[in-house]
Amino acid sequence: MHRLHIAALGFAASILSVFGDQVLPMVTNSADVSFSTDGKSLAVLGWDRQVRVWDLATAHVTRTLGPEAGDANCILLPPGNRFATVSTNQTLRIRDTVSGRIMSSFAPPADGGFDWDQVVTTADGALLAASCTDPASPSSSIVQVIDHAGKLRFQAPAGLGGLAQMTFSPDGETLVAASWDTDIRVWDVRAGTLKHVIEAVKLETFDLAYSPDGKFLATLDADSKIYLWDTRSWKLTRKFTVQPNANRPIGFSPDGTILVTWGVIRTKSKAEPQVIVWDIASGRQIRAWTTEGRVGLSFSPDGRQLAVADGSKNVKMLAVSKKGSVKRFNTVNP
Amino acid sequence: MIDKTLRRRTFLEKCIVRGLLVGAAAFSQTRLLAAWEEAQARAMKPTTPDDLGPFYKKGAPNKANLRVAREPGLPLRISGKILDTRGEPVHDARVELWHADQKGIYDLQGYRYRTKLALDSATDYQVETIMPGHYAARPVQHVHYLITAPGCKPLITQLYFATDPFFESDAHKDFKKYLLKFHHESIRPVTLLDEGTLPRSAVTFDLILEKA
Repeated sequence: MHRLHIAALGFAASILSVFGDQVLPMVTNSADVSFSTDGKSLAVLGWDRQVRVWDLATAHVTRTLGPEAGDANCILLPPGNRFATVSTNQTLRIRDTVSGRIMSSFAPPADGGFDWDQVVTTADGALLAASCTDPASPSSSIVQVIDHAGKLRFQAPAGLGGLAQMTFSPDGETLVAASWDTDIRVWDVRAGTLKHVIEAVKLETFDLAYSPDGKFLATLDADSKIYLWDTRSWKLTRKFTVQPNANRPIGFSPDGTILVTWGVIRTKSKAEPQVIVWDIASGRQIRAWTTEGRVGLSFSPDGRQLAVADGSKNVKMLAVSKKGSVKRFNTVNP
Repeated sequence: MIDKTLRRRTFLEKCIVRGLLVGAAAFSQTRLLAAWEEAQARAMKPTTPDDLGPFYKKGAPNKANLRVAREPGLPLRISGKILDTRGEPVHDARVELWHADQKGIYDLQGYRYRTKLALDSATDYQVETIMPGHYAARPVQHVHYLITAPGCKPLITQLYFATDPFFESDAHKDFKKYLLKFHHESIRPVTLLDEGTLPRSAVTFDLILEKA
């Protein structure tokens, strides 16, 4: 793979293809990545806080967008036709990555600021969820759901010690938040009511992800265990162990049959970050790749490619095929 | 939270408005004021909240002795009272306490160095454990706490040790350059005990809860 760094010198705006994998050379380190909904373009967030939109047919960056005057930060919001900037007065604006046009704008929540790791939006960008410390109880947290007009739809107690992760269901009807106190709370967004609390997980949830059809929620705990929850009954349907020291992010393929995880495999002599792709049905590890550091991940809409931004000066486009199954994971029945 | 704006004059005015000075015939203004001043003197600042951290594990057993036979580590006794901000003892508290082992590793599979004390009628706690180790991501020795009690706000906090080599003998130096989060208010001195042949250490850490 190191040979591919030559690309940065001589072929700066081309896609190289090796063994079905491809590399997008970047002029800066890649922090996060997201395919557009039609799969024709890829938005890449760099360490320079700029979002570069690649046209995958021509292998050229067609647009560079980023924080404007008064903006303090920039984050990607999947799918990749949206990104968000946050102004110094803490207003979050969701923009179209093609036109740069502001699609929706959110005033800051009650505590006066957004927690960068926590802001999540519905797929249509109409609602935003944020968390903050409960002003009346410093060790407790609350979650707030705000619409694009800035109206608070609801706010609710969200456990002790802060929120680890949040996500909306694909249809935007459900909000799930994992608290550092290990409980996972599920709200009906329309009614603004708590409809379930998962108490069975004993360690912090490092990440959670809905399957694209909304039928399952995958959660990753601090001991590298993946839990698959049926989102109708909220019963545990499956539990298995992935690589040691697994951490966020995790993600489903578009057809919901593959799960991708990231973690750092440590030996006495080295620590090796790896992305691993798992076939959920067979319990087999399909492929594993070494990364330079923490990653941003995005599947192409057809599920054949996984884009990985790992802090290096390129984005890896990895071919995903179930034919490459090499290892079965340790499945534990619930 | 202590109402720092409540001064003598304000206090008397409030009492008069509420009829307390008229109705409480047995109390003179002087005695009432003395009682108020005594309460103010006992008023305590709530323990500074801190992060829960990523290694909390639900379901810890209720046990006061966390030491494990033949495990290395300086024996440490942690004790303290559970009080409210008026200095009154708090009953029926649940005190969860967890920390890393001597190598700086948290037990995620089991419950080594983790406890959830159900204090019931007691208003103080004592745990026999070992001095926690350092770990690369956060090289400050610390013990995590999660305390709940009826009628009080939950408290998440951490205990730090003045003897920690990280502090280089001066816990009040500016350590911001290390980008480490810790609270000076929660650093406690460590006492070496002369009990038996092995060295032992002890720390007192009172936990002050706010009324809900």
